[in-house]
Amino acid sequence: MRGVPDLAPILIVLVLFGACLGSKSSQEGCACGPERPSGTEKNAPEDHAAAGTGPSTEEPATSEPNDSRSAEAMASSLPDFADPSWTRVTSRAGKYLVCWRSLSGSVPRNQDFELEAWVLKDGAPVRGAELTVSAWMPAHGHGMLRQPQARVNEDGSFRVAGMLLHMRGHWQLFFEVLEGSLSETAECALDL
Amino acid sequence: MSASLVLLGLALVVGQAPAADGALVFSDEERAVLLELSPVPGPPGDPTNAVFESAAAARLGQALFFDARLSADGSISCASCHVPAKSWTDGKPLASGLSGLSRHTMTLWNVAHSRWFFWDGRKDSLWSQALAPLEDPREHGTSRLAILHVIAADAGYARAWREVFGELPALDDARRFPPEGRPVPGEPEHAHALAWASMSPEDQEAATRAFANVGKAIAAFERRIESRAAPFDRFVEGLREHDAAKVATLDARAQRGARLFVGEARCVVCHDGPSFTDLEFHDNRVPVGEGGDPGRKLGLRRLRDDPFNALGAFADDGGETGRIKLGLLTRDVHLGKQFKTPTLRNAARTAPYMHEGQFATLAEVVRFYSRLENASPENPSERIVQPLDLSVEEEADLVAFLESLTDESLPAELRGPPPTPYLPR
Repeated sequence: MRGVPDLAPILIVLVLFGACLGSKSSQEGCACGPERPSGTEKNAPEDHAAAGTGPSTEEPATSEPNDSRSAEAMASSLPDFADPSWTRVTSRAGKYLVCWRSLSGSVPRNQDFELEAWVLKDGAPVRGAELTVSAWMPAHGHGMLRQPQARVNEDGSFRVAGMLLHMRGHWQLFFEVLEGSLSETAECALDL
Repeated sequence: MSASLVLLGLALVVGQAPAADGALVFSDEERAVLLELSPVPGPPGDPTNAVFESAAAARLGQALFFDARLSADGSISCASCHVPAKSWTDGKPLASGLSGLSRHTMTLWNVAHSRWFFWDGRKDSLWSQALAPLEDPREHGTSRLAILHVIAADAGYARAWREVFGELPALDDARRFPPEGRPVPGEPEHAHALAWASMSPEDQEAATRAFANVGKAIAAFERRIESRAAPFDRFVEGLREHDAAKVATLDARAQRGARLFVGEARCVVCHDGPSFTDLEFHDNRVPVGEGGDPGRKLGLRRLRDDPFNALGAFADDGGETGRIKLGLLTRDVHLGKQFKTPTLRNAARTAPYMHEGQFATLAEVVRFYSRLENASPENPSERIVQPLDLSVEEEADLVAFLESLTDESLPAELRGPPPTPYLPR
């Protein structure tokens, strides 16, 4: 006999999807806004070699809460997020600016890739936050087939491994920032 | 200058290609998608298989592939179901080895480009896939120890093995390595299980490692089963080079089918890339039998429990590939009954179709997607599977396009057992 669909996981996904959609403001905060985060005026050369040196964990990556460097010092070493290789996304309530880019220079379809992501608050990297990256195809009703792994680097950025957008079409990319007991999500659109 | 020449010039300037009869012009968008479907790149590597690209391993694997001694009664080889003359499948709705199976035999064309293996993806490498039928009682029904004894007793195999993998375990010591034996989960009283249990852990490990190498050699051979010179590939070459003669390789009907494939019919959403598959799994709402085959849902569970998976001890990269590929797989998105998107290369030669061989012809397949008659209930995670409402003419166009993906021009020497399991010096 043909099986009755298991409704529980379907409902969970639908609820999560609804939560991801959020308010209209989330759309407005999407992708390459004109704002430039404060503290990015001085830009040091990017050091990709340092990426991926953070702790390995399958849990959402948490940046170190007690970094000895000052926010100002950290801000002075930020990449130039105005460079076209970066996509800047403001979280729905405007608390965070997430800046991300593909480490390979482009977002491929149906091939593994990794992201570098920075979560900024008031122009400085947020310390002690967790970052979870996910993606969704609204026209299809499914997301990625993986849960990407975000690792925090010493400089406060995140390296996100395991990205795989396996189909052509419209994708939504979600960056959920959990700081303390509060979370905000930044959302971005991609067409592959 | 005539009006037609002006139109031709405009078409070339904007990158569109007219068909030979001048009737069909592809939009920039259609052309861009078509260009992504050809040529077929070389097969990707497999870091979990150190001999994947070794010619000597491929030769050994080819001999093993065609050898019916690798079965309980000497009647079944890999080629019994993956018949070269039948486009590396068997022409039957459901596979049959020593007894009947519940799914259709998948073709091996371009199999090395796959990410997952079997209809349910319960294997994550080609070498691991090759091992499963050997010990399945319904297929070859043999055991890893029996296979290793065949190899050790055959001078040609033994020589080839030494050249590719080094020394075999000490199989001539019958007390340490019984004639037959394998782990038999859930059946501790099975003769194979009892023999296996009599072995030391070290010898079990050595035999299992050698068994994994059998799969790695077979995979090295299967990697060579490539189809890359179909009429469609010449057509795309023509689009790319603005060569009308090459474009005319496809007649108007097939070209209209190509346009539907990448456009209105949305076939390319799942059948994407030069292998015409997204390499993943979908619930395409195909009518299913009474068996309640759960597809990927169960396949994923079996994959995680498989000692030969990419995180296991026999992956040659120490689990590096598996950490991402397997370690980050989600557990909760595989809704409904999902099965692997098959390649469409040589689809016209691999009937019947779908995981249970539900459709006898390509025309039936296209008609199903057009009308979704007797379809399974809609799956919320597969909202794109909707009736296409194609006309009869359009359905025929799509079939003509699928037929243009045919290329079985594999060298004859790969279609049967090699003269020797080792390469001549």
